[in-house]
Amino acid sequence: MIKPLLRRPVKSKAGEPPSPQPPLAVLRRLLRYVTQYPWPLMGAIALLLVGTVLGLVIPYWLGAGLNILTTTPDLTLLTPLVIGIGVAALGNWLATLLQNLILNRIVQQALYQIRREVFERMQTLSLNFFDRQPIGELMSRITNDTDVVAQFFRNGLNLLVSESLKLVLIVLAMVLLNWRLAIAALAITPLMLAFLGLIGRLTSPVFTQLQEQVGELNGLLEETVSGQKVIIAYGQQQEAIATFEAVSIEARTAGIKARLLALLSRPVTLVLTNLAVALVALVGGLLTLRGQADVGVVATFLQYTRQFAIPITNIANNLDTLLGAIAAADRIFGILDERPTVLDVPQAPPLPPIQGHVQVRDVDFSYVQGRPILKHNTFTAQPGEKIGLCGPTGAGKSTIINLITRYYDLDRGEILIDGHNIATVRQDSLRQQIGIVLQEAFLFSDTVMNNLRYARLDATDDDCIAAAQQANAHDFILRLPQGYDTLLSDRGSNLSQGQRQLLTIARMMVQNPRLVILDEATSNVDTRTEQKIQEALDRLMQGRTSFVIAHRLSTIRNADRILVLKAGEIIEIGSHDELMQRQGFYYDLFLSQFKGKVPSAA
Amino acid sequence: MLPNVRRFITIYKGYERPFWVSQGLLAIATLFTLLIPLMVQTLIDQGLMQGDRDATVQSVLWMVLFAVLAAVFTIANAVYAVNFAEYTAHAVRMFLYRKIQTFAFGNLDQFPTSVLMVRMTSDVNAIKAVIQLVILSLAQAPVMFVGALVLIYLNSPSLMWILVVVMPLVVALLGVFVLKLGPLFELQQQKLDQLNQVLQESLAGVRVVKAFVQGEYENRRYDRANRQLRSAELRPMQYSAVLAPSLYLVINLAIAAILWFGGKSLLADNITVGEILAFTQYLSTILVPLVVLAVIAPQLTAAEASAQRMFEVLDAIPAVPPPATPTALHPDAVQGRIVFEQVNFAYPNRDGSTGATVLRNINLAIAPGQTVAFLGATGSGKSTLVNLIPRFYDVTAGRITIDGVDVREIPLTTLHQLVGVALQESVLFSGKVRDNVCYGKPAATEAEMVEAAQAADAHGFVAAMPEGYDAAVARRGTNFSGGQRQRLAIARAITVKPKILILDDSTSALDMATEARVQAALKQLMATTTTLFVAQRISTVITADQIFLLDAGEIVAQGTHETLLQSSPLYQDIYQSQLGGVPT
Repeated sequence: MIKPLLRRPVKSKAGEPPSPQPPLAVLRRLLRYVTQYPWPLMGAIALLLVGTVLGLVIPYWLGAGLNILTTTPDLTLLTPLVIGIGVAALGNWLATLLQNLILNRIVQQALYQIRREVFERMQTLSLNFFDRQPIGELMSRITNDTDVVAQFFRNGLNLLVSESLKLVLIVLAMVLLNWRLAIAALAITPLMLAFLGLIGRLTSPVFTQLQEQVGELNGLLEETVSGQKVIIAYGQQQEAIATFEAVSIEARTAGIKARLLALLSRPVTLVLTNLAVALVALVGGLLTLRGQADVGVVATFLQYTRQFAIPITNIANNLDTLLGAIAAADRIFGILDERPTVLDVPQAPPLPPIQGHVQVRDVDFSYVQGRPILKHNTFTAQPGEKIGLCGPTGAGKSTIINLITRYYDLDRGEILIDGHNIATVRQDSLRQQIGIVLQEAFLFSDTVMNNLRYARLDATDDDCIAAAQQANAHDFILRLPQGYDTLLSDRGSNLSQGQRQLLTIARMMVQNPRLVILDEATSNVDTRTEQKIQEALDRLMQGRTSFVIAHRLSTIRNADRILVLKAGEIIEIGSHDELMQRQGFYYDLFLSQFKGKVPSAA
Repeated sequence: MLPNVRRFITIYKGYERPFWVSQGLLAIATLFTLLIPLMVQTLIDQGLMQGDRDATVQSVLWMVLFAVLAAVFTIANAVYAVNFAEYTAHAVRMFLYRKIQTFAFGNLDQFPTSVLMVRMTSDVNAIKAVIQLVILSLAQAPVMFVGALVLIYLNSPSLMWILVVVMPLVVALLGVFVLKLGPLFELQQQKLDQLNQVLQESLAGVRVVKAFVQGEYENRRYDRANRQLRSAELRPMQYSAVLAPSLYLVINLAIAAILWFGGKSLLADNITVGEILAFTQYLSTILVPLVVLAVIAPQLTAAEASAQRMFEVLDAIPAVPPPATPTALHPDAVQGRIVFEQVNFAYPNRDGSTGATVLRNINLAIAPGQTVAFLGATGSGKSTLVNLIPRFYDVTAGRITIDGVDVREIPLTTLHQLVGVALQESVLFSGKVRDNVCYGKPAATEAEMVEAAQAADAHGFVAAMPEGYDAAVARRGTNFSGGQRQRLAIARAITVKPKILILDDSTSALDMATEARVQAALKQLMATTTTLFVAQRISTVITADQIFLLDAGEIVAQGTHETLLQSSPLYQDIYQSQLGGVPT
């Protein structure tokens, strides 16, 4: 129905998304979702400290034990150490476990909250937000970005907090134990960081290239597979294979380069770690021989050095996850910072129950400044009248729906219903009294009854059934496997187009509005069902003011008045007979359907 | 166990050597890694305990050497792994793509685009990831395991029993983890899908939501799904939260045991300090490959599923087999007479059985050069009927002949040259306009291309563009309006100069005036071409030489517009509802 809108270029009425924020600010805002729970968070950090300290104490006592064994082996001296290690092990286990459990809960709650806020924010936004991009894109952005942020919370956060803390404590422990050996152990660090930085800088462009290649491959794939029927019809299979093969080979080459580079980091960091261990062994050994250290200290340091390498590599490897998460979070916050553009005036009263008298007075409207869609539109509809709208594609017919329901605000002029300016009453109350039947019949994947009840949550089953009968839908509903309790699948695709249309009309009847707007579906329906739909629509429009956007002139032949739109202006108004007599634009439009085969007068 | 994975492995026949080489390299790397704790042992026992400086330095130098060698061999193995994986992915992609190119319409119905896309992307990636992981780590675990056992046995047999106790514990922990986590992750994925579905519906139906002012209701729906997701995501996280610390607990308690029993052994002169320390290091190093195996296990399950889906596609039988004994038909000699004899058609079901009959008892004859129209509502079978002529589907009974030759005996390439089709959905490919218009006949001259475009009323808007025929067509042709796409698709069909031209509802986006122009131009350019229109709008068919009216798969009336208006009640109905009776 409003498909033309999606093809329009950037509209000023569509608004601009909020601009991106600096990364630190985004990170801080992101972390706020976690710091909202100060007590559990502090508890987790405390447990983390305890756990890490206990974890560091074990190698120390092992070293002490080995020292005893090298000097004066005595089991009684060993016993307290062994018991100590056992207790520390249990303590470390308990502390780490509890810390993880607490953090996980916090993380899940934070994710829940972000998801909820995004959804609720979107429910408040005006239509311009949704018209700004195709739904698929919006969906994909939200799900992908939330996923990235979720990954960050699940893994990255833990890494940043606990790994950094561990690093600090290990360095502290090393320095306290033997500062000379500590220097030896840490000497490799700058080399390791430099190497990781180098890998990062090299892999980034290579991975970008890989992304591009994969993007091209998938794009080509999608295009040819979805267009396979054309390929078959024109016998171009061999050419398609040749083109695809070339692109696939390029993707393969790019993949090898990128992944090899990425895989290099682990063996090299391992070598560097082992080199550090060797250095510690060397220096430690020499110091021991000189009496400035002992076997136990060396043993402990060997452990510490190994333990030290892990957080560094983890942090370096996950730095880009962090950056990605910040970018994703920024986009999500962009949605959270959006505001609706069509606002109720403060203390707007609700629209009282209407009779259906509609006045459109000198309305101008454009989506993009300088490209007017509607110009000087003026017309009136009396309660109960059927007004038809017709004209070439893009003339502005669908836009009128958006304006009467106040999905967008006017540039100039006003629209009055029963004398009330629609811009001064509450939007909800306005829309609840206008019924819209769209070109595409949208249903939810819920039961038939619930779909009908969607119009008015307090409608009784009987109300819904009565509406279905009025809409010629009752019969086919009864023939469905579970009748009114039948579950409709995704978008109602287990019904035919015609049946879906009848259901939306029935839904409208449940709402029972005094004003109806109808954007006629182009006939995709068999003749029998079409007659039923026509009948149902006629019943729907009886006694209600209706605006019908016609794609088939036969629909509005019996309208009280027909508005002919061309390039945004109403060029002719009158009943069908009046317009035919005038022999103007409408006359030409009507006759062109017959391609010159006008039958003789019946 | 894992039948599809095993079947998949057979594609590597003839490429076994690289596999064994890679695993050999990995084994050597692992061995060098195992030797490092041995050097630590020497350092302590021969170096520090004896006060021997040279021995100390020597053992450190050996450590460095082993570390570097291990890295070199690991990298060599990585090279193999990456190549293996990417070459596999490419090969699988080509298998699948070539297979898809043998598909007919019926196969595409069974495997819609979205399904094929998933198989060619996610499934291929899943297989690739597993291959890479396997090559990177397969040999590691057994070599590490056996190696460590041997070294421990040689050095500190009195402590070996600790290993025997610890290993099963670790394996048990990992096993429980793998078994429990699989279904939990599946549940998590399910809940995520459900949440996204609510989101999708809410976004797609935003106009309905706003029209009925049900924002609150939507919020509540989403919240329900959100809560469910939260608990579904939490469970696997909590399991992981228990696993890692538990593994470390086992190792740490083992260290305590090693210290105690090592001490006892030392006093009995069965062991040295260096050996005790080496033992603790072996214990930690053994953990790594076990964890890797635990990571591979769930991925293998995913790979099995992906391989099965892949074979589903590869095992599909092309729905339209080429003729066994083709009849040579010279395209230029063909006149374009089409005859349907007692034709029935039913779509095949997914499982291969025949579905409900869609066309029944179709008998018709079309003379060469006639303009013929098929009119009916959606589901009446008109598109299906014309799709039978170029053998997009095969009839289930009766036969169709062109110039007296059964279409099933005409070679498919010749048939598609003879019959040009503008399909219902005008699909354009990214590239230039001229690439699209000349798609069926890449060797077409400029004049032929322009002529076709003019007949389709497309030349006007193309020439108006700055780049003209070199203008770029975006993916799916989205930079053109629906009407322009349709006209380009018609031009594409005309360029081939087919003897039979089928336009399947391909003027639906054109307004009456444009449609009339196209029809007139076609009549002129393709005077000798048999032209078939398929339409729902009476205005499209009103000027045809013959109109066939279809309802529920049968021809219920045929004739010219005038005769049908007089004789067919159904035609009169359609006329009434679409054009609303007679103008005065």
